[in-house]
Amino acid sequence: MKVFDTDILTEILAGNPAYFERIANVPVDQQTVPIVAVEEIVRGRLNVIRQAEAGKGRITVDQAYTLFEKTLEDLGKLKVLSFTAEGERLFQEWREKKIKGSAHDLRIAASCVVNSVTLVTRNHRDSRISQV
Amino acid sequence: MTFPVIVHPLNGQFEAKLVGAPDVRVTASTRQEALAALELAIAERLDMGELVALEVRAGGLGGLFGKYRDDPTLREICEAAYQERDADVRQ
Repeated sequence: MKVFDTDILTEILAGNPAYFERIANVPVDQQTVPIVAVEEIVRGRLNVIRQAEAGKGRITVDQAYTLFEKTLEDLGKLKVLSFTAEGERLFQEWREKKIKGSAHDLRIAASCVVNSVTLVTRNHRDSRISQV
Repeated sequence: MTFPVIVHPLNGQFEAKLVGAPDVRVTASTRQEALAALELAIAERLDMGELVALEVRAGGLGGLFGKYRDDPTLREICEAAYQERDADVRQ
């Protein structure tokens, strides 16, 4: 099973040809995205709506809502890697061991470890997590 | 270009037909002749543009590839998420 992080998911949604082959080689039933990535994209969509409402966005309010709706529909089609109580226990264990990393990075990593799956992410982002 | 076809004996002859298109069918005295005639019938429909090869996008992430290529906010959303992660890095 391959887990696609937010940056890879973004490039796929944006149609970056460099990433097409990477997903094409992974069977559909082996593709998943972490719930944390879903959270980040949805949170971003909500921020875009707020910005549009304040007249500070790059798109109009109706466009922002349309993208929000479309995103919910599309993300709902994907297999999601859950963040479970077991993942939370591992996350807290890493925190106690002072393992470096943001909460989101560590939660994604914990979900991957708990489910014995491989995270696909951009290399330069990996440096934020140490010792995992 | 290949198409799935069915060929079988029928009333002392052989019938060949294109799977999913019941009107595209031929009969001939031998199996080979039936297949050759069906190939011609399919080729005619291809030439007329009645039969086309349609690539259906796969489900999963492949089905969403490029769906947001015109969205000016998507990469900003991603960048903001990673800035938040960067700001949250703790020892």
